[in-house]
Amino acid sequence: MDCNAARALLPLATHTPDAPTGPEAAALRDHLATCSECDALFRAEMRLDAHLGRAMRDVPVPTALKQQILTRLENQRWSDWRQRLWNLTHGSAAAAALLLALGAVWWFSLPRTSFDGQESHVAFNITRPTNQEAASSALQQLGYDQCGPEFVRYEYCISVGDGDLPGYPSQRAPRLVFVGPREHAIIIGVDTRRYKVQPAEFAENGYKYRGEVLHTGSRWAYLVLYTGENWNWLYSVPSE
Amino acid sequence: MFQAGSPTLMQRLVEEHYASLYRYGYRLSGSSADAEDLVQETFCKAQANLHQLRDPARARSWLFSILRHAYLHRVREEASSDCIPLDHVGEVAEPAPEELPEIDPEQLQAALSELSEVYRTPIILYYFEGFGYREIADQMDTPIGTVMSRLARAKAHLRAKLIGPGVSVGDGQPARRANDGL
Repeated sequence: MDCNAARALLPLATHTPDAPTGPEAAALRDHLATCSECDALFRAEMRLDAHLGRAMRDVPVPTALKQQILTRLENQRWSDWRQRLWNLTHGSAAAAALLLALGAVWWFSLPRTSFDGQESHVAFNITRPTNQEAASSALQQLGYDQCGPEFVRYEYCISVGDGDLPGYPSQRAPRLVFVGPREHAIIIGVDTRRYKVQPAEFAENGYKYRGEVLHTGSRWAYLVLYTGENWNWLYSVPSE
Repeated sequence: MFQAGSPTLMQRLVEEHYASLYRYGYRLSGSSADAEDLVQETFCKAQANLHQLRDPARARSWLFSILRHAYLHRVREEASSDCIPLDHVGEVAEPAPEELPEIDPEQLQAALSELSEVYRTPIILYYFEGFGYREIADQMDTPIGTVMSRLARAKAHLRAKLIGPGVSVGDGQPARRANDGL
């Protein structure tokens, strides 16, 4: 190794973390052992670095600093914990409110099994009839002198009203609505002196109904429109 | 990987590094009050981001890096008029006297404060044991050659301010110019 190469290594050789190792270190050592100028330069540089280094590191550290740091870190941990707890509780409350709102929207948007709709066979001012007498009274209040059917189970009756007469769209007729375990039925009173009614399939408000006509031997007949296969569930006396 | 904010680990980090961090902060800022703030801020950030420290052997570098960024964030831009441009300063020191004079702490800090941060940081880190050129270069996100060049210029500046000219090196022979391989 010559002087140029040795002095090129000076910044590294005089700084312990970067000191050359292995063959390079050996070559440098050998050169310094034989070159007094380079050796003097290296020694002076190392002395100067040591001198400046001591001065650079000679900074008195405040005695209370360590405890101040530890206290601040502990306060920060408590602060973070309180913040997380706050976020958790308020986040939960907000989430609960949101769920409640979404639930309400879902509930009120559920399709109702309302097959009366605008045909209005719900009479809001008439309580749900629990027997034939009550049904007759409700029909009279609506202006119909037809009696309520006697062959049905009134525990399934949910409303009394009126609506279109099938086959005669411009005509109104009394209706009783029944909701069973899995299906529903509409019983429409028909004045046979004015209208002819025959059993047929019928569609209304998105529902498809089968129809049967029951004659009571008087002026009035009943058109029974039902979903499902039959309306046995509605009969108080099994049909023949 | 460390658990965020682990009290025991943080206490250990504080005990091992608070003093050197304070000295570093003091040399960077020139103010003991600023140095205290910087050190506290550094440890707070470290606690909040302890999960980022994957290798415990790199804790010191990591902490020093946090402190430097905290300092830079505070200072933003140093007034250039307060800094001495070192572009014209050669990388080879003027000869120093044989008897090295005692270095006055205030003069040392004044000389450091004359340097812009890009020169001040490497020279400070250089004289803190254990920081090699590679580590300094990583801290500053600067090529190692640039770091060595800046170090040489900063050392020459300090030498000129604190040691003075007229060196006899070793046996009194004038210092020769080292190969400018930096």
